[in-house]
Formats: sequence, structure tokens, C-alpha cells
Amino acid sequence: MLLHVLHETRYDYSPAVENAQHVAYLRPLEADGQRVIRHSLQISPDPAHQRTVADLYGNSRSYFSFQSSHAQLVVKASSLVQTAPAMDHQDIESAPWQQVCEHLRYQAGAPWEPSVEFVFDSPCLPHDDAFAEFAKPSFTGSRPIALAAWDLMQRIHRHMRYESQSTDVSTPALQALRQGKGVCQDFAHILVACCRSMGLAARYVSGYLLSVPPPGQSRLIGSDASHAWASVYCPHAGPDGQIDVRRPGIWLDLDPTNDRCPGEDYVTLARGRDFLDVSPLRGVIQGSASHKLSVAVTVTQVAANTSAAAPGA
Amino acid sequence: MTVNQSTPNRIPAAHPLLGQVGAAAGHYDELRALPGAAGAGVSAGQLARAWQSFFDALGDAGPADLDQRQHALERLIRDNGVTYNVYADSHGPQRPWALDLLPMLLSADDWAVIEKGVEQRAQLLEAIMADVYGPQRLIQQALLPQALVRGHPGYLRAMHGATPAGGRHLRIAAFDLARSPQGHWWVVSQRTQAPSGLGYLLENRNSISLQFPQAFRALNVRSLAGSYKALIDSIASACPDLDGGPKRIVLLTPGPYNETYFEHAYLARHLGLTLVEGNDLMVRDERLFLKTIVGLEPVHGVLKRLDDEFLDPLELRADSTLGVPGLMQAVRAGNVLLANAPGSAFLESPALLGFLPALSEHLLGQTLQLPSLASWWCGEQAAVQDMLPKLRDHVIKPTYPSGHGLSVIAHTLSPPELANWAARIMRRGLDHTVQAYTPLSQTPIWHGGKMVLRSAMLRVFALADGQGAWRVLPGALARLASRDENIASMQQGGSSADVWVVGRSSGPAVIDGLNLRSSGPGGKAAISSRAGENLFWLGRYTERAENSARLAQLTLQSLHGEDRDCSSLLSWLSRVAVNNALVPPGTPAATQSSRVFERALIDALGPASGATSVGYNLMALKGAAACVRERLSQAQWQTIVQAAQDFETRCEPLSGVRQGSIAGSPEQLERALNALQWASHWLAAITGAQTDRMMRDDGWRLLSIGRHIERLGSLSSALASGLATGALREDGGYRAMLALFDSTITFQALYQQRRDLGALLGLLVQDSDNPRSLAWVTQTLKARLNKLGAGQMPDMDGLTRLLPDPSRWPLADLSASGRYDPQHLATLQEDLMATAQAAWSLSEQVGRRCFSHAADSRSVGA
Repeated sequence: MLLHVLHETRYDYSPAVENAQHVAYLRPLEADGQRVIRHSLQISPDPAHQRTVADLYGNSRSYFSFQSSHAQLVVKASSLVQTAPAMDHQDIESAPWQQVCEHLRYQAGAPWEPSVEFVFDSPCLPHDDAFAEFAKPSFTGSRPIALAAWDLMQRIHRHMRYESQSTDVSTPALQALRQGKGVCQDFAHILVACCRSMGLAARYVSGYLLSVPPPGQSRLIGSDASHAWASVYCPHAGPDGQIDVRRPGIWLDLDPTNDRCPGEDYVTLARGRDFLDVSPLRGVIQGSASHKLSVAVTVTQVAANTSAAAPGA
Repeated sequence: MTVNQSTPNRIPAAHPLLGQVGAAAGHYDELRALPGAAGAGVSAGQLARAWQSFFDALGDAGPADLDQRQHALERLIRDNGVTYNVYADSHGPQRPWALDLLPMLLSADDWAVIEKGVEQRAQLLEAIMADVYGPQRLIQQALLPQALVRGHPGYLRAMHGATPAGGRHLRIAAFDLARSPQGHWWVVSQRTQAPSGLGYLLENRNSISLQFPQAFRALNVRSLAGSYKALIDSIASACPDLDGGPKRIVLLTPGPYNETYFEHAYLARHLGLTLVEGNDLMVRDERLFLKTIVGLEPVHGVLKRLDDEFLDPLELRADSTLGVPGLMQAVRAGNVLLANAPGSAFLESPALLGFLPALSEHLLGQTLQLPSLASWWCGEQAAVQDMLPKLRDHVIKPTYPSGHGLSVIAHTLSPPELANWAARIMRRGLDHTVQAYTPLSQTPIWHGGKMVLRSAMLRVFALADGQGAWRVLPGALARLASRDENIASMQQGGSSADVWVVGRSSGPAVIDGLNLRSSGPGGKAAISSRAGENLFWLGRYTERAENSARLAQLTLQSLHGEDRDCSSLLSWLSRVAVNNALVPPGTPAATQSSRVFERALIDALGPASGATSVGYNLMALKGAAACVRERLSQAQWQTIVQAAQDFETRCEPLSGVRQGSIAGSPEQLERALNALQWASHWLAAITGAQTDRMMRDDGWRLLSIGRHIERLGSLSSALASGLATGALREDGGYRAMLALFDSTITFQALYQQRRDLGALLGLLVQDSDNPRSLAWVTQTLKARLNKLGAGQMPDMDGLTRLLPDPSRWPLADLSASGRYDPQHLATLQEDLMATAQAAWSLSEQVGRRCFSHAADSRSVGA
């Protein structure tokens, strides 16, 4: 599916900011079948300094700074993206979850497994036994990991109530789990933390969701804002039921907010250990006492033959 | 490794000071270089050679001599203000640094083992850093668990793939060493993130070498100075050269609330570095700058004493107010050198120690020479199986800094506690590391008039040198356990000792009077905006405190003196008291009710009153001084602390709201006047130190500018209201004005008992020899402003033009006709009010010009 995303962030400062530095993760990722056909990042006022590099997870990271007085900052990211179709969790012949735990645990001389890094605590998601308690019922017997993770996602979806403004970007996932409500960031964090508490590898994904639902389908929560979901590492099972180490494992995307696998109506922006690795726009400002923030996200489907005329590019 | 290297001395006569002292059973005895005797505290065997030489050099010194040296040492530590903040809190007590009189002696043979082993380890750690932030082969080949690298919060993704300026990550590495009962040296832990001790070590050496000059020479103790200098050379030569100017190296401290702030200030002073906090610095175009009173100055190197996670709120902890936004961007661009480069904290995990022997073989092709205490990381299944049955004989340590905190010595636990720990390890193995337990060797200290032995641990430093190699600082910081303990920690009430590495040959002895300032890196001393602002306010508050104390004293005396019924005097004093916040707004003037007025004034004096009177000004003075503590002598700082404390104590019984107060009694007045008299004495001492004992650099100039702005503003406004109320026409008001300007004696010398308004105004407004006259104050202000920034500050004329020139006021016209012309008097009043206004505008302008970079930063996120 061809999607156009317009993501506009605006800060109004009072009094004006004298110095500011920002980091943005606003360029969609080129990976796993997703292609970025066109992308622009417009920043107003013009930054004094700007540099864009790939971070260690392959995400595009833009740094920009200002050193003169400005009362307003507007950052407009416009992207035209060819998305990839959904993956069905039932199609993956994944290994039993305990074997995955065993596989991810350190053994001297064992072969390199890069996904191990997503087993560990991360800045937003310190270890807590409450996550393991919540996760355990999904991880039974020798259940294949993809099915166990799917079950966990469904249980999080049932346990949690989506309520906008019920948490903010700094609310710990543990608190959201305890209060049983939150926003997509909390749903995703809880799924990630639960998997890690079982010794499994899971990561946080930031992105978007198509605003206009396909005909006959209901409107999904999280549209018209940036969205977030989780991804769980699922190694393949070999013919003997053991992990098939010759085939690279699959990262299975799961959206606990909407109780489904992200599909071609999703755009992936960036992936990291948690929100802090990939927050769309953050910064440090000097000189201002207060600020007003407004964010507007619009995702629209573009017919393939009209892509050249996509708006806002 | 050879043990018990020191040949026992053939002379059997041990020094009488020794008595029967010996190491406890199971501990190595440093005095005799022997495993401890079977019975605790029993001396056996002969002294090690180094100790024999030490006691020989002491000659026939007895306990009284050592007591005397002990007192001298305590005085030195107090006078030098050596402190360690136990509670790491501004209000908590600053504990004097605990330093034992007797040094710990290391033989040349012992040192050779340590030196070789530590140098090799420093190389190994650098090689690990190069791999971990480069190709990461070690984790790919599973020589290192990912859990201890990418799973450690000290591994910084922000440094992934970055090549630090100068090509190396580490320039300082600290190793904590223990000597086992058999005499072997073991590494207990290693520190690279921001290791403390280099400053205390130097202070210890400078203090202890003074106490035992003969022994220091006789033992030919190895000098420390070269290694410190080599470290600074290494940083200076590797700094990026972006502007062709002199290289500026700063020492980045978390600030005065940090427990080891003393040594940050001490090191900065001795190494010739500028001491800065995070908000003294800023990043522009991926380059680092120091915010100074004359503008931004480039910074090329940073000796870092701030933990990594606080370095940059943009990329690391967003809630950090101690760091510099954008610093990581500048580091990655290679535009600034940090010693050490960020990202080494994972090396500090005890879990890493068990992997080092294999890493040494792999990376250096060498056997690890100085072993670590056996350490097992419990994230490895096999290690847990091996370990659990033997847990009782070990120490349980947290693998990660966010873990369970302190180390736990398992044999001190009850059986249920031990079982509890075993269960924790089973549940979350990777969070725990188990390390072998060893009793520490014991070294003599002088305690309570006799010698006793205490357990010791050494912190040894490897420092980079200018040639790209490592140099092991030939000395150490010994940390001593308190009585009967085996934990050597400064946080847990232990103390420290200087460590003397005995030279092999007898060469010319050098007493370490180390001061690298003259040989330090180039670049003129800069005054940071923050330091400048605090000095400016130190000046203003000193003047304000003096002025308010004098005014309060004068007012109380007038209310009870021969002029107590002079209404113009009382209404003038009332007005000035309100202007200077000596009484709360709305207090009836002294002319209405002198008793109510007096009570209000006395009530407000103390710092606890909530008013901004004398007590408040003294506290504010102290607060500003605390922020520039490193620029003040210990004596000056002590005076400031005592002045505030003394006044507070004296004011406690004065307030009407307190129980047991003496409010309203004649005694109250007497005590209040006494407190003010003392405050004036203290302030005279503070002023003297400011005038006489400070470097006359731009920092001092700002202090002086602050003082003179305050003086100009308050005196011109007091004089204006003196004219307005008519107080100067009365004898009482005349005398009070002279007293407020502190010019009574000068006036009497010139005019005896004359009461002529012209003479008075001449002295207080225009006399060019009276340091309190308005003309003198404005001239001084102009001169100081013009010299600021070596005269290179742009548009200083704009500032000095704000000031009037009272020397040109036509005062002679006032009484030209023999009588005072009301028209002329009104003009003078206006000029005086305008002068006060000019002083306050100048204050704002100086702030805008010199301190504008000092604004706080904060994080935002969408």
C-alpha cells in the first residue's frame, strides 16, 4: 500500500528560546519490505546546524540546533512510503518459548545472536516481577513463541483500557499496568517488558497508522497521532522441534492497542529498546519559561498512479 | 610472585613505639611482611626493612612526638579545608577528611609487582573499549556476554562507532587492590568512569611528607609529580586543535554538593585547570565552549568527574541538570577530548573480572599478571551451579550499578538471610556476581596515643602519558577500615593513609610540593559566567550586610540616645529602615510608636525571621561564597561561615515569637546591639580578606563592582531621604548621617565639631580621598568596569556612561547666598535619586553583559 504521512510538530515558547538542540526520529525506516519513496524534513526557523546519521539500529536520526532567539519551532516531516503486507502469526513455525530463552542466555563460545540485546532492561523499562506475573499465563508448556506472544498481546488488550491523556510520555509502564489504562506507548511497553521478564527478546516500534479505514472496517484507535507497537523475536523451529539456527529468526510485530498484527496500513518509523531510543522529537531548550506543544499527524492512502502528485512532499 | 620479599632486619631492637602490636589472626601483617600471628594482636617476627628504616628515621621519638605530629596534621587538614561530604548534601555536615598520621609503606619489590600488573590491566581495558565501541568481536565470539556490555547501562549506544579524540578511550584507570593473608596482591574492583582519589592522594602526600621529613628522605620515597604532569600532557597533546589557539582543559565537576567536591577543586588548582560545572559549558556547531564573563571561549579537553549518564540531557538522562546539552554530538564529531571517553562504566562491573584472563590472552596475547579475586557472574548457568553450595564463603555484589546496592559478605548473614540471597540469585542470576572473600592486610595507624593495626585496601592509578603509553602513579590512596572491620570505605566511616613507595636507590630526595600551575597548559585564566555572577553577588551582599548592620545599630542607638525625640531624625531612619527591609512594610514609623518600631526591627534581624534584614543578608553572602568556594582561602570561608552562624545564634532569643524569648526587656535591646556589634566585627574581617587576600583578576573586579554598586545605590538613596526629611538640619541627623557613611572620624579630623551642611556634603559627595564619598565610589566603579576583560569588552563606555559624576555637581551653589536655597536642595535630591537609579540599572546591565549565558536549560519532548 502506498501511504503518505504528514507529521507536524509545533512549539510555541514564551518568552522566546535563546538556544535549543533537538533530536528527531521522523524518517520512516527502510527495512522488511517497507520502502521510502520520498521524504522531507522541513524545520522552521532554519537551524544553525543540522546533521542526519543512521543510529546503531539503522534508524535515521536527525540532530539540529538553534543559537538565536525564536518564539516558535515548526518541524514538518512528509513521507511517501510503500508499506509491506501483514505477517500472520500462525504462519510462523516458531520454536518453543523455553528453547528461545535458553538460546538467548549466555553460554561461553555460543554463536552470535544479535537479538540478545533486546532481552535486557532498558532505561524506560527496568525489571519488575509484576511483568513476569502478568506474562506467565501466556507462556505455558512448550508453546511456540509466536503463539505465546500472540496470546500475551490479546491479554494485554483485554486487561488495558485505551484512554487518551491517561498517561504521558514519562509514565512508567509499570504504573500503566497497575492502573489498567494507558495509551499506545504504554500498551507497547507492557508487551515488551512482559516478554523480557520471561527472558525473551522484544523491542519497541514507533510509527503511524492509516487514518481512513478500508471500507467495511471500523476505525482504529491511534490514527491521527503517532502510534507505537511491539515486536517479539521468534526463531524458527527445525524439523526436530529444536531451534533452527540456520534460518534467521523473525521479528513478529504485534499491536496490543488494536489486538492485531500491523499490516500494510502501518508505517514503521523507528525501532529501539523503548520509547527513549526513538522518541519522534525531543530537545533541550534554554531561555524559555513555558511552552505549548501541538502535534498533527495525517496518514492518507495514495493511489499508485498518482504518487507523483502526493501532497506536501 | 614472590612474597615476604623484605628481609627481616638484623637489628632485633624494635622501636619502643611499637609495643606489642600485631595483625589480627588471618590477616597479613604489613609491619613484618608476614601472615598474621595465630593469636590476635600478638607481635612476632622482625620488622620489614622499610618499616625498620622508617622507625630508625624517627629516632627516639616517643608517643608525645607522634601526638604532636597528629595535632599538626589535624590543624593542617582543617586549615586547608580538606573535606569529604558524607551526606552529599549542601546542608549536611562537611566532614574533615580522615587521614591517618602514619603512611603505609610499600617495598620496591611489592611495587614492581603492582606496577607491572596494573599497567597491563590498563592496556587490557583500553583494548576492550576499542573492541566494544568498534568491531564488537568479543561479544560476537562470546568471549564477553552481551549482558555485561549491551545489557549494562554503562554501555552507551551514543558512542557506538565513535572514535574518541586522540584515538584512545581511557586516560585514567583506578584499581582497588587487596593483599591476601599469604601476601599476594589481588584486584578487587576497577574504576574508569570518573574515579575519585587523585586529589585526595595528592593532598595526603603533601600533608604526610611534611610530618615525617627525615623518614621521607631516608626511604627515598618515589615522587608523584611526574605522573600527574604526564596525564595533563597526554590530554593537552591529544586535544583536537580546531582554532590554533592555546588548548584549554577544564575539570568538569557535578558541583559543591558532590561528596568529593573538595578534591575536584584541589585537583583543578594543582593541575592548572579551570573548574567548571555543566552549565558553565555550552555546545555550538558541535564544539564545546566555556561561558565566560567576556563571552564564549573554546574548550578542547575535559577531565571528567561527572558520571556518564549525566553528561548530556539531550541524549542521556533527560532530567540531568549537571551536564551539557549536545556534548555527545561534540564528542562524536571528535571536537573535544573527554578523559575518560564516555561509555566505560560497564568495565566497572565485578562480573567482568572473571572474563579478563581469557580476554588478556585473546587481546594482548599475554597471561594476566595481577589476578582478580575469583569472581563468578551468575548469569552463566554453570557458575550458579558451582557457586550456590559455597556461597557462605563469598561476597555477593551487584552486577549492575542499579542493583541491590552494597556488597554483602555472606558469612555475616543468618541462615534464612543466606537462603534468601540464594533464591534471589536463582531467580535473577545475571544481576548478581559472587566474589571470593579475603581478609585484608593490616597496616599501623596512630590512634589515641598508641599504635594499632587496621585493615587496608589500596587504590592505584594508571595514567596515560604524553607518549601514548600508560604510567602507574607510584603511590596510592590507602583506605582503612574502622575498628575490627574488613570494609575499607570512606563512606562507611573509614579513613585514609598516604602510601609511600620506597625507592630502590638512594637518589636526591624530593619533597612533593606539587604545583603544576606554572607548567600547566596554556591559556589565560577565564572567569566563568556562573563564577562571575556569584562573585558579583558576594560583593553586593557583603556591602548590603555591612550597611544593614550599621543602619540597624544606628537606629536602635538613636531610639534610646539623646536625640530620641528628634522627629526629623526618626522619620528619616524609619524611611531608610523600610527601604533597606529592616522592618516589614506597614510598620508604623518610629515617630508614631518608637516601641513598636523597635520591636519590629529587632524581630526581623535574625535569618529565621523570614525578613530580608541583616541575618538574611549574611546567609545570602554565605550562599554566594559557597558557590565560589574554591576561589576563597580557607580562613576567609571560615570567617564567612562563622559570621552567619554567630549572628544566627545571637538572634535566636531575640525574636518575640519564640518561647523563652526576652522580647521587650531591656536585655533584648542590649543583646541586639551586641549581636550587631559582632556582625560588624565579622564583616570587617570579611571585607579585609576581600580587599587584601584575593587575586585581582576579573573575578575580584566583579566582586568589587558588586560592592560599589550596592554602596552607591544605598548611600545616595539614604542621603536623598536625609535631605527630604530635613534630618540633616538637626544635630542628631547630622551625626547619624556621618555614622551611616562611616565617615565620623574623618569628619571630626577635618572639621572638629562644625555642623555645616556644605562641609558634610563635601565630604560625603565629592571628597576624592573618602572611600565612601559618592564621587570616589563612581570613579572606582568606572575604573573597575574599564579594566574588565583586559579592556576588551565591547562597549564598556555604554556602561560607564550610565553613571553620573558627582564631583561636578555644583555643591558650592547650595549656600552661595549664605542660606540654603530650597531650589538647589531639590535639584541635589533629584540627582541623588537618579544616582541610586543608575546604580541599579548598572547592576542589570552588568548582568546582561557578563552573566547572560547562565540561564538554565530544560528538556522538551513530543
